[in-house]
Order: sequence, then structure tokens, then C-alpha cells
Amino acid sequence: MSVFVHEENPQNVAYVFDGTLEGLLSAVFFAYQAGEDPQDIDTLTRLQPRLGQTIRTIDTSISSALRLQRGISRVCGADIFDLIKHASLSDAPQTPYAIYAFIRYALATQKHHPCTSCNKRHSCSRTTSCIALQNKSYSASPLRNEHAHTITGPILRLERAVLNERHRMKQFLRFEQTAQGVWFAKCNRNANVVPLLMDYFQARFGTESFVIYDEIHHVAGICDGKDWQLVQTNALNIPAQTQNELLMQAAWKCFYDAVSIDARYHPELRRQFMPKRFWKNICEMHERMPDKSLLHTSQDALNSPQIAPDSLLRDTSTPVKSKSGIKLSRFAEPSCQ
Amino acid sequence: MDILEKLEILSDAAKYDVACTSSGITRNAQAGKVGLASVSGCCHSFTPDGRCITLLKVLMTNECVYDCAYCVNRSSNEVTRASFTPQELADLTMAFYRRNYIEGLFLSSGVAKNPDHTTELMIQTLRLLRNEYAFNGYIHAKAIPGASPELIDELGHLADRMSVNMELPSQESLKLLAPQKNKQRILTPMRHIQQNIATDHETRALTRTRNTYYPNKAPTKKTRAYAPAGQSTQMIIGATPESDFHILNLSAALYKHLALKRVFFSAYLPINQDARLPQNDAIQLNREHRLYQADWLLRFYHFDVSELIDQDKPFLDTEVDPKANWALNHLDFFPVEVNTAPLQDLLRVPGIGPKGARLIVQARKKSCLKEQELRKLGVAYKRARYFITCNGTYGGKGISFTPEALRAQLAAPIDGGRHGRRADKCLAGQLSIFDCIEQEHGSQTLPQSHAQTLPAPTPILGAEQADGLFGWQQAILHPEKVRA
Repeated sequence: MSVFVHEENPQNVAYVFDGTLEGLLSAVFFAYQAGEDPQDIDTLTRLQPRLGQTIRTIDTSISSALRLQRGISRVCGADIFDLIKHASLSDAPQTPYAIYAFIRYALATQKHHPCTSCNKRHSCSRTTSCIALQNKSYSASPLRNEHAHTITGPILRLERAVLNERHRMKQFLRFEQTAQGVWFAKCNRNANVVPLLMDYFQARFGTESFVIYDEIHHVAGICDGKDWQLVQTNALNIPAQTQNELLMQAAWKCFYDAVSIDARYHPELRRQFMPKRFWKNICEMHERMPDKSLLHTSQDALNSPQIAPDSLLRDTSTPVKSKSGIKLSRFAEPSCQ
Repeated sequence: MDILEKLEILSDAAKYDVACTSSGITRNAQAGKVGLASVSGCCHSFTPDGRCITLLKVLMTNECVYDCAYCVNRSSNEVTRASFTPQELADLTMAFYRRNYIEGLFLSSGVAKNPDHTTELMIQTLRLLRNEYAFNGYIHAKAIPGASPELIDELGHLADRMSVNMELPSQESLKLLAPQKNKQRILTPMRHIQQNIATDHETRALTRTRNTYYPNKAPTKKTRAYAPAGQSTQMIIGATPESDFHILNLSAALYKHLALKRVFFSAYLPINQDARLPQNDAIQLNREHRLYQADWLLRFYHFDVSELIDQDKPFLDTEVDPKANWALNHLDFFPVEVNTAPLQDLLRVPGIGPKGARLIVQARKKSCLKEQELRKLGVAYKRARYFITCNGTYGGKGISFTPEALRAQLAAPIDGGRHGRRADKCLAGQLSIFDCIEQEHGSQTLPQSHAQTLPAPTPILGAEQADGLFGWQQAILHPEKVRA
């Protein structure tokens, strides 16, 4: 260690936050409060400090995050806050700093929602019932059009990437039925989109309960038919599949094989639409299931789609810990007979 | 016969039906019902040939009393015949839907006893799905030509999209290959469906508008709309000698007069051995691709049919796509200035599509667009630069502004030739490890040159033959040949 006492260098600061959107907003709030302009904002594991950089760890404070959210909504509109929310779910390394730069730019250049000419000013309490906060389509923000801008362009592209990843998940998620409800295990590498998917699947399922587990980000979205919530977890105890489930997967694989036309074989096109990184969780892309004996029990299983009897469950397999090898561990011990 | 076998037979029989999309309507989730529909559709899987799987595409039954030459299910073919019961099919659909394998059901059928009987079976299945299982997802039903109008009405109220297969583009081809079908029997249900959709629209619009003093009481029991996602059709390309001119004019007329949402083209695949069918193995995938590109130009780029194709050149160009072809033939329209041109003009530039044109119109409100900004917007700048100016600057210098030179630029292979089917990239006579793979899958798209043997290379007179020796070794062996 050097003899001299280093003075804190306000030019060369990095912020460390906890990786959530609230943490990022707290960090941005802190930057405004302390009057600083950090060079980098990142999580502890990802940060690579520069030479001579002061590192500050920011505590997540829900109140400052909410204050900043309200401020952004009032100045730029609620759709810009949605833009920030979507972009923050991306895994790209430059995301937190890009969002910080964007918030600074947006708050500096956009005009505040003019309270003097607003026709609700007499009834508005200026904090929660501002029009800009409530009505998402109040005005499409001009920031949305600036695709070629150096600060806004990257945020728009990040949001586009996250929404694309969400669409891919809507396409390629495959649910499996367990005794209690339907669930599945998924993994996506590029963005943490479970929060964006829960609403869609809750609408699709109606009153059934389901679980969506993201292996890479260790987040599980759980819905019990009425409400959904997110849980941070590393391991998941999943009960075994039912007999009917295996039949359905065999039926789907059978359909998939029957529908292909050999004369038009074009695997590059299929790979372009369905990238190989998704194939791990798509049941029809696995090797063909070896249990043809399912055919004997198929009629009964189809007519009574209830849970398999207890004895079958006890024989089949131990509860599977969810590391990335869920499917592998099931096929390693043949489940039927 | 059990469910897996039936599924295999009936989906194998349905696989040649390409009109399978789940787009066209948005329906939000409703309490008490399972499922929803979105206007853009959602592809849940992709076949090895690249087509998307979004609906459970099956036939109700593959027994058929007709004998159309091109069809795998024709009555004179020896294939295993199977039928779903309505209960089985409804159960299967709900099970697949819950697992997020499909967006809905695509139900077609061979004609079992007569068209009415088959349509009644289909109606039973759809009623089970909609009423008992409260299925709110997407259903595409094929109407059988010759079914009675009341049954088509009922089918339309249960399905989201209806279609009737046109099969072949002209009456003569139909007479030749499908003598039991005729043009009127196919067009009548299409007109019927179109009229039903139109009257349904009008009635619903009337109940919504408030043009009286006393407020209208909306009817408490909601009835389903009639085929809200519209109507489509399909025809086979390459089985009969119609030209692209005939086919595109037919499509344009169908869009205009029958208000179809989409016309699908399917390249003819040789399945049956029949003297009436073309006997060569070539599958016209490229022609199908160009026809789809022309179809997109009609629907999204506001082109007119006469601009794309005419009587003198009745086939679409295979080297360049139809939009580039139009651009090359109308070079007086270009260059277009991106900062001021209207949206319609921007759509005509090769390399700028509807999304790119909209982005340009939005972005140019904020800043002047130059080359850097255009590249960031996602426009295919490499193609478009010959036809546009950015704030007065023309980026296509170096290539002369003539049709021949620009055609050479536009017809160049995409991405340096890395894009596209690997099988198509083999040169004549070139050995390829993919040869054995193609034969395994029974592919029939090898270009003809693969079958021929390479001619022996003719020796060039006067040149030295390579014999594996270095020059200095040659000089030691033959010192007299070295020129000192």
C-alpha cells in the first residue's frame, strides 16, 4: 500500500448494484443525489474495475427506486419506463451503463409533463394520479423514434432483443403435467424473461397452476391459478412425470415426424428459425423415445387423464434435482415397466 | 387401431396442406375458457424442411371417394385408412394445447361418404371443443366443396378461419387431374363464405354504432363471429403447365373479388405414379419462392399485378426477386431521396421493406438520415444504396447505373453464398459428403448435373504436366533443359 492517502477521485467512480431493476434504479438515484457521474455500473461478479477507480456498493432502496420511476413516468411517459424495464432484463454486459446514460439523457432533454395546462390539474395529487403515469398511450414518446441516436439506439435494440427472446420462449416452452399442475423447466441464455411470460401464460391457462423455471437465471415463476410470483431458487424438487405425459410426448414426437416432407429437406432453414440452443428443452428434438409399449396402454390413458396410481410413481424414479440434466436423468432409468 | 397409429396416419396424410397459420385475429383470454389467440400467430416448432408447425394439422378421416391424380389419399391408392372420432380428436387437441405444443387445430378431411357426412363429423368435433371444453384458441377448418350451405354456416361460426382448396389453377387442369371436382363446386362455397363474412361484419357493426337517442341494448347472449380470421386457399404449382402470369392474375382476382386473406402455393411433389402427372423429379422450389415473393408484393407493398408480370414474359425471373426486377426495368423512378420521399416510394426500393420504410419515416422526423443512420436502422443498405440518395449523396458510385450492371449486383448470392440450402450449393461434378445424406432422406432435389460424370480434363498444349518434382530436381535430372 502506498504511503499517500488517496483522495477519492470523483471522475473515476464505479457503482456496484445487486442485479435487479430496483437496484439499478437505486444506483441511478444515488448518482443524482451525490452529484456524481460513474464510469461503470455493474454487478459485483461482472465488474472489471479500471485503474484507480473508486468502487461504491449501492444498497437497494425501494423508496428511491419508486421515486425515480415516478420521475421518469412523469417526464417521459409510462411507455419509456416500460422500455427501461424491458431493456434491464437483458444479459448483455453493457446494459446497466447504457440504461443509466439513457435515463440521464431522457430526464435532461425531455420536457416535464406540463401541469399548468393539464386538464386534470385540480384533481391530481401530483404523485400517483398523474395522467402520464396512468394512461400508457397518452403520447408515444418521441424518444421511441430515435433509432439512430448514440444513446437511445442501443436501448431500443436491447429492448428489441429482450422482446424477441420472450417471443421465442412463448414459442418453444414445453409444459409437462405433474400430479399437482403443469410445469416445465426452461433455460434461456440471453435475457431473464420469466416476468414477462407469466401474464401471457396465466391468460392462456385460465385457472390452472403452473411453474416456469429458468435454469440459467435461477428464477422460478409460480402461478396458482389466481396470482403469480417470482422466486429466486437454485434447485427444484420435481415429482415424476405421469404415464399420460409420456404418451402425450410420444404422440407429439410421432406427429412431428409424420409432418415432415423429405423431398424438401432444409435443415439450415429450420436451424435459422429454431436455434439449436433451444433444442435441449424441446421434446420432439430429443432422440426418439424407446418405449413403444406405451401403445398398449394408450387407449385407457387417453380416456382417463388422471394421475397414475401411486405404485407407479414409487417405482419410477427419485425426485429429480434440477440441474441442467433433468431430461437425461429421467431417460437414464427407464420409467415404465 | 390406437391413437398413436391414427395420429401418424392422419397427420402424414395432411402434411401436404400448406395453408397452416395461426394468425389473423386477436382474442383475449376470457374467464372460464382455455386459451387465447394473437394476431401475429405463434410458431411452436419447425419441421426439418423449414416449415412452421403451429396448429395440430390432421385429417378427420383419410377415406376418400374421389380419385384426384395428385393426392396421396385418392381412392385408387392402397393406403391404410383411418378416422378420428370427434371425442378423440378434441381430447388430443386440448392435451397438446395445454402443453404449449400448438396454438389450435387445423382440420381437413378426405370425403368419407359424401361431403355432408364429412362436414357433420367436423362440426361435431368443433362443437365439442368450443362448447364442452371451452376452447378459446385458433381453429382453421377446411370446407369440403359440395357441402350444403347450412353446414358451411355452422362450420364458419365455430372456426376462426375457413378455406377451400383450389388445388389447380385452371378448369382444364381440374378436368385432367381431378375429374370429380369442377370449378363451380369449388368457387360456390368460397363465394358463400365471403358473403357470410361480409354480412356478419355489417350486422355486428350495426349493433355497435349508436345512432339512436335511446341507447341500444346489446344482446346479452354473445354469438360467435363468422370466420373472423377470413378465408384462404391453396393451389399446386408445377403439376400442370400454367404460367406464372396466369397464376398471379388468378391470385390478384381472388384477393380482389373474393376478399381472401391469403393464397398459398405448394410446389408439386411427385407422390403418385400416374401418366397424367409430370414424371420428372425436379421440384420447383425456386418458382414457388418467387411466387410467394410476388404475392407479398401484392399484399404489403401495394404493387399491381400488371407491374410484376405481363403476357410477353409470363414467368417470373429466377435470378432476381420480382421487386428487384421491377426496379431494374424502371430505373427512371430512381434514385429516391430517403429524407423526403413518401412511404410508397420508399417501399419500391430493393432492400427497404415495410418495417424499414416505417422506421425511416419515423427516424427522419428527428434527424437527417445519412449512410450511418441508415445502416443502424436495419435497412439492407448494400442492396439499397444503388437506388437511394441520402441527403443528396449517392452511395452507389463505382457501378454504372444501367440495368445490366445493377442486375449483376442484385443477383449476387446473399451473404457471399453462405445463405441457403447446402444441397443447392454443390457445383457440377463437385464431390460432396452431403451426397450420401441427401440420398438417405430420399431427396429429389439434386440438380441434374450430379447424375452426369465429369468429362476428362483436356490437356493444354505446351504446358508442363505436374509430376511431383521440384524445379531444382528437374534441373539436376535434365541439365540440358536449363537455360543458362
